[in-house]
Amino acid sequence: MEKWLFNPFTYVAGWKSLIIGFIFFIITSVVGYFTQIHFDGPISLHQGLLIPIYIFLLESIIAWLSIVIIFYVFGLLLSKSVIRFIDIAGTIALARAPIALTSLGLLPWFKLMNPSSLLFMPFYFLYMLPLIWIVILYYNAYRVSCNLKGIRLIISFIAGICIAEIISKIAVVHLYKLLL
Amino acid sequence: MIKVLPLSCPSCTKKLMVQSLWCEHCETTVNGSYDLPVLASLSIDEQKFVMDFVKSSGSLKEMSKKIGLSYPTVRNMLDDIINKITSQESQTK
Repeated sequence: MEKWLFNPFTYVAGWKSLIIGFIFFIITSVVGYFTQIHFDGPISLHQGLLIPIYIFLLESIIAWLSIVIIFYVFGLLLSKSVIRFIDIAGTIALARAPIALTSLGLLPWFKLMNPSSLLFMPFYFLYMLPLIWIVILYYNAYRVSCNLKGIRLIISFIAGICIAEIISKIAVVHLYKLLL
Repeated sequence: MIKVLPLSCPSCTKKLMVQSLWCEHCETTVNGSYDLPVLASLSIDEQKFVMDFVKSSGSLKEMSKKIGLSYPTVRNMLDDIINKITSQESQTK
């Protein structure tokens, strides 16, 4: 059970995990649309504008793609194994599944109170718990799909998350300029 | 009880050699000095993995289906075995 929660990639990777991950992307986008929560970075969320639902989906895809590209480049540079893009794409997509579960968990509270009020702040902090889960999943997705170990894995993982966060933020700003 | 083949000397930890082989049928004993095959240096699970891999015609996809693990996990297991064999070979040289 523990392995399925924190490292499902031992059993599922590639296309199968990509399809499951994309189903969760759609759930995240729908809930995001109704709550106006934007999951627009690998590990970040914020409340924002009410925009068309397809932009919520594009935000999820940008956040996912930014981390996939960075990890794939790092994997090519650092791994001695023959890595596959589909494994990184699939495992990272599945690693973002807790975001959908978090957004579903936050949904009822949005109905009860104003999300911009101070009373709502604790619910944003509740996001910290699934965030730790997501980071563990990202780490295992990267470790399994790129076959990296030790200090090389840890440093490249931290650097990768930071770079991907910046890339996705820049890409989302450009997306808004382009479509809104 | 599964007997595990000892690979290193319990006294000095150096690699063990084969000195004697015995025929269970006619009780002939052959003495000499022989190297252990590289595959014998792998663990029982790793040897089983190699056997399954050969039986799967070297297909990682086939292996992952057979043992119920993902493709990258199986590839990583194979890479770990390759690294182990390579380091064993370089130690021997």
